[in-house]
Amino acid sequence: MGAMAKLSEHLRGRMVDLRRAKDEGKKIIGYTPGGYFPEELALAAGAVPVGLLRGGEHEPVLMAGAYMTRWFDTFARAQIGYRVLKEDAAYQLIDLIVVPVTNNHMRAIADAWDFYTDVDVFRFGVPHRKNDRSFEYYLGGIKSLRQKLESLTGAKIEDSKLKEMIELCNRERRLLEEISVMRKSDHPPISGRDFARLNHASFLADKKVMVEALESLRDELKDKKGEKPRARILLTGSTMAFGDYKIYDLIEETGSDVVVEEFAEGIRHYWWRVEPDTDLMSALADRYFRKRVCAGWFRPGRERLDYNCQLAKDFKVDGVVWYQCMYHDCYDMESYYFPNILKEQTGLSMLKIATDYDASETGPFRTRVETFVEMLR
Amino acid sequence: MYTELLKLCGFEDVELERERSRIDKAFKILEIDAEDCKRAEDRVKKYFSVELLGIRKVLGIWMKDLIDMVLAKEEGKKLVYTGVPPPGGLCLSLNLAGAWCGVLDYTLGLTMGLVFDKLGPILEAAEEHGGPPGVAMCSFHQARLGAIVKGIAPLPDAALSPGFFCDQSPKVWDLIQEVYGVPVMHVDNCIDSGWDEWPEIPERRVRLYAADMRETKDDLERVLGVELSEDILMAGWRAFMDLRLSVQRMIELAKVDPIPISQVDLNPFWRLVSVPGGRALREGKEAIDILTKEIEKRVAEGKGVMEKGSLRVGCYATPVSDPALTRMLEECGLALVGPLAYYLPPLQRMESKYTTPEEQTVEGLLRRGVFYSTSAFISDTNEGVKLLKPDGFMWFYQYACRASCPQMLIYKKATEDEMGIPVLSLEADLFDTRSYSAEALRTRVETFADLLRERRAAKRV
Repeated sequence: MGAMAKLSEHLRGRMVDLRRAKDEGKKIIGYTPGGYFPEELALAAGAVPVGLLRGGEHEPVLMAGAYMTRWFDTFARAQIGYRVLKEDAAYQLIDLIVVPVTNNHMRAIADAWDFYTDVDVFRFGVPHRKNDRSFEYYLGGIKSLRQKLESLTGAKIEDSKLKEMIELCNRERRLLEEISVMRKSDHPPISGRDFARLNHASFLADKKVMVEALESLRDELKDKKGEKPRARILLTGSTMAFGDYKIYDLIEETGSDVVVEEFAEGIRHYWWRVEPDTDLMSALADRYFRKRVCAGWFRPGRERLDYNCQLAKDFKVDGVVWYQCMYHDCYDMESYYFPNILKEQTGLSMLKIATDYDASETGPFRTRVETFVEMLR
Repeated sequence: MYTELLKLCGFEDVELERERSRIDKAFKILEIDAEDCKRAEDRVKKYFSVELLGIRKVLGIWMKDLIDMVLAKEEGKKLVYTGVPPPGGLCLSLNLAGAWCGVLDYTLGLTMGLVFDKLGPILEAAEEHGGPPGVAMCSFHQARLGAIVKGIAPLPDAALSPGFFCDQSPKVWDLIQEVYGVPVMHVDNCIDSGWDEWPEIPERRVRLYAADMRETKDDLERVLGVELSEDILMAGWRAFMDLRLSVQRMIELAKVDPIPISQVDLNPFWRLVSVPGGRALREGKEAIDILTKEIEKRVAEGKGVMEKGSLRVGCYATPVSDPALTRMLEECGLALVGPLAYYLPPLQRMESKYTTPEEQTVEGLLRRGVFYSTSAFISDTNEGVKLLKPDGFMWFYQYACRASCPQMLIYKKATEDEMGIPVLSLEADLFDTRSYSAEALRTRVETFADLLRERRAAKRV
């Protein structure tokens, strides 16, 4: 059985594993995406971190209408929908949801869970600029998180354990990066869709199982030569949710492929390491807040836009697809001036697509993607 | 073409003559023609109690603020736009130092929207230049972007962006910085207080904001070439507090039965303290004092704009640009009381350990639930409901406000459950009248009024 198949099997049984772990007294810690939750802390506290990043389906969005108003980010709306629908066990099993408050959309998720569910909600703020003050603010936030996790699990987070978990998570990041950069090849050995699924798996899978699977997969892919894509695409935008693969399918249908994804659930998830040489908490803050390229809600957000241009060059892409959720205003506004920056720095063109996770979007999106790829030839 | 209109807005004959060339110039830039002036004149007469001098004065303050803003660069003034919530003290200090500093969005909303009903083309200009269209973006920020795009609002020397409450506002500044090269100074904060943390003021939030503010002050001095001495900062802070306190008597008077004045009339007054600019600094207190006396007279005479014993409905804020909605509520027999946005927190929450104007600015904001957290906002609102004892409560739920709109259903349910009164969420917009109309909402309001009447009658039985 190949590495991907083994991993799929692990994920199929993952909810049962989580239920069992919970019955044995382990705490399940859910967290919202954005990349500001240091998983290492939960792992070192003996808890199981689970990324709540499911999306791409319309039913939870519709369901959310009874709890939240319509005019904000589709992904954020879907999160209360998944809880209410009770179809995804991950949203039912959690003992605590950690929400790094990055913007109003994330804040709304925390509010909805606080108000409508009995799940404990822990929030900490993520400032919108990178400077020493905001670094200290973020550091203060994750220190409070550490205390919260200790009190929830009843286990003190020892530095030795934390260091061990940092190394484990770094290992996972390094492997994801190694596999991802294989896509720089003219014949990428793994498709964009498969890589996205692999990356998403790391938010849910047991860390040790994940690392083993990644090691095997890296070895399997080393000498593999995939199809040469018709056009190489950089995918960027607001949230690349687990299950939201429609855009990959549409791009692949044209014979093209996504060779790199610039999202918090894409390259920003695995690209930088924690350097545990100094104080461990500071090292975590350094990696999660300072080193990682900022998100679109940063002020200013230019760092991410320049980074996209650099990625476009490094991965030799032919075009950029900007894929965002509807009503995610910060990304909406950046998408207005980014094409000029992109054109200036790389000469490339961009297609913008805004989704409301609605099946009826597929037809119009297909026409737009096909036309875009045609234009790139 | 504008003489009658500006007289309705409190301009004296002498003042009109003196200012004529400035007004001509500004109106030309604003693309205001005779037809606009006639429409504005009709609106002011229809919706405002222009028999009251205080009302005429306050409309004049905002009109003059608009003219000052449009001509500021041409007249050699430094121009600074700030976002919401503005650091009131610093804004007034900058005005004391000779700059024009204010919230461009509101200045436009209270003039081009409220008086001229001419915001549409400005909002559309924003939508054509990077502002997500319609309800996808808050109309405040659309107005700002659109006015800059159209050249109505001159490009400022600097923009001050408090990223306290909303993400859109700083991001619009980001866009304006990228596209137009305006230097933007961000003052950061995070609404990350836990559900049960209220009302303790989180020191981490105070320190972050205050330090950013201090740095911003230095940046402003450097960019503008003005000195913001401690004396000027303190004077600005005191002037802001004076304005804030001077409306308190008005707030008290506005809630008596029968309500002596409409919220349509009070709307431009509330903004003198929530978004103060140079004209508010120089003429605001006088207008407030005049209107307060006029209301006192009405109260003494037992005069009201609605019958005594009318149904009373609490609210948090009212639309900025659309007087028709508030008037329609009154026509349905609802006396609007509040708005709670301008009530000072209870005295027990006013003690402070902070000493600098920057710290006190953020502490002042955090004492208000809306800037603290959703649970604090609910708690604050419910305290206000206890104080006003209304028959019902009404939320003007602004479609596109990412900071308050997502939680609107939570607010409604929480106030209904905790306070036991009916709550109506009325989808409207504080600036953009393209997305709703008062008349389309009338049947909902009538039904709500019937419900309140029946509840009141049932209580009597």
